[in-house]
Amino acid sequence: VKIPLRRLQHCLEGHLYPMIASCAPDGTPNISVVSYVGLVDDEHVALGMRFLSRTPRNVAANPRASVLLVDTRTCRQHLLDLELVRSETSGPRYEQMRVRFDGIAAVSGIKGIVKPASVDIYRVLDYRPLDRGYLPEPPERPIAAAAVRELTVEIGACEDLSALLDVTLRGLARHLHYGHSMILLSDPGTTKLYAVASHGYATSGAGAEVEFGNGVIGVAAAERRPILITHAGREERNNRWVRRRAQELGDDPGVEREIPLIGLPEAQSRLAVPILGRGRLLGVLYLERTAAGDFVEEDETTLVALAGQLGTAILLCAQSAAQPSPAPVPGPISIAPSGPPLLVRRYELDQSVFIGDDYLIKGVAGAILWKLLNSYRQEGRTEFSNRELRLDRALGLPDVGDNLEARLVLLQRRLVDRSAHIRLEKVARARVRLTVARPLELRSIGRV
Amino acid sequence: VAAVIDPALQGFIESGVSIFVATRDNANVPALTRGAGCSVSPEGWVTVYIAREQAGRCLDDSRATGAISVLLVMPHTYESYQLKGADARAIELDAQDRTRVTAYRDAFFANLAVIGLRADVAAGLLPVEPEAFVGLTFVPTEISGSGRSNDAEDAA
Repeated sequence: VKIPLRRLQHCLEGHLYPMIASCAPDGTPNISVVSYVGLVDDEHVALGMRFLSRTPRNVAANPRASVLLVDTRTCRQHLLDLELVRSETSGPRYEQMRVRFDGIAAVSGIKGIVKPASVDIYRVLDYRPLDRGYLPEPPERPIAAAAVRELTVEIGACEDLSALLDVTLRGLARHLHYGHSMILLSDPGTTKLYAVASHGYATSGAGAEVEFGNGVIGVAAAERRPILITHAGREERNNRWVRRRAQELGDDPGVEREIPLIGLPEAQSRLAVPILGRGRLLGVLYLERTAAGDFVEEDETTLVALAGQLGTAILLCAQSAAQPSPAPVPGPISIAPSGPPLLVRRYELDQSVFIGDDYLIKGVAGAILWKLLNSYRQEGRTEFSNRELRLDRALGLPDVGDNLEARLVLLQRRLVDRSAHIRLEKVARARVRLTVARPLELRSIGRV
Repeated sequence: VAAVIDPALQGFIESGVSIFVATRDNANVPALTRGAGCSVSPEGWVTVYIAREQAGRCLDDSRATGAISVLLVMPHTYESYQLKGADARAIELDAQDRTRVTAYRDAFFANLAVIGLRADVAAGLLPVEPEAFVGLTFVPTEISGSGRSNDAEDAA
């Protein structure tokens, strides 16, 4: 029974790696693990390997090969008869595979030892199930186009960054059933991302930082390409093997430090998609699921399209926030702070701010909060415009792409997470209001 | 010349590792199927069991050329060995072989459970009835694998 090649994508992402048989010119068969299989079109597949093997040499001399795939949802096994068309050592498909391998290595914190020689494009001469299959095939997932359309409309209607982030993540859950997701934005002038919004977790995780190149998210940012991991456990086992082999060859890749980020501890399916706008990396959209093989290339395609929409919307929000803000808005009747003084400490060294003994935030966002609290304390001010923050050189905002709006969103969310007594809310375009429920004791600690 | 299979390797070969079998026809077109257990005779011959339903082309190839390669991989460690031969021939299974196939299924499925594959899924990889299997017997002339550094490139 013939089935469309795209239906085989679940075979590529399960617990079991595909295997390939090739044959040397002298007639000796050989079997190798296939690390990467991509569907090129209805007649071609792309294969790649993370290891040295005899397969490339064999198929260079004798282009015929046979690949065994297992759909671990149904246990149906498929045999593909292939003929090598060409090997690519550069170009988009090679880059896609290389980045995928970097992402796989990043699951275990390995860097820089997997350099695939080529991605090989094969014509599929024949494919057929080897047996009847054991379990019934799950129903096809509904086409996502209608859901993407709805979410795109919702994203387009957002006027400020905070709402945009929440609408996007809530919409991914409601329309597309991505229940666990987060958005990290890039920190201009650095090689870091910081988490600014999440959905589906017990805590918001706002403020967690990821260095470019670290983990699946960091690699997606560094490479500006999506990373799809469909079986983290399989890759971790495989990475242990890669590391052992590297050690045998005297090339120990070492281990990166742990990434302090919220997430599902047992997530097997992971997808990190860069958010780009006008050629700049704005952040990363990250999704995960506990079950293995829950994301396929279709998910990646859908999320790349949505991340493009999100990138444009983020830039539009930033443009809007850069406009002059309207006149101050009459606020609610303020209630005088009461209760014992709340100690807020700021460390000049890294602009980190602690409320009581709890760390709140550092860097530019810390400097912004310190300025707002001092203005409140010294002048009784509670409303502030984005423009005056931008003009304050002491805050250390970069001249171009300052991400002020994103830093304010991060600050708002960290305050919600960590303090019951200080709030920052948006009251109009490019204007925020500070609310303080307890008397403040501000203490700045200088550089030592 | 037959390659030497030491007791440790024999233990690995006869355990519940993942097994794949490749053959080729007269035009050097390879075929691939899943193995369902392996045994080593006192003389050093290797018999790999395969399901008739899944292995039609491999059986045809064995009659035509006899060239064979068997890859054995421990699913959770990726320790692997590849045995190659040139004289594979099909045999019907006797009672002892059928017992080995049944024991292999149990050991293999236990190894797949370690990597998180559900038992109901694993069970579908191989037929249940021992009568569904045949054997390919050959003399291994070449052995490579992750435990043998000279053949590092064949480890996968």
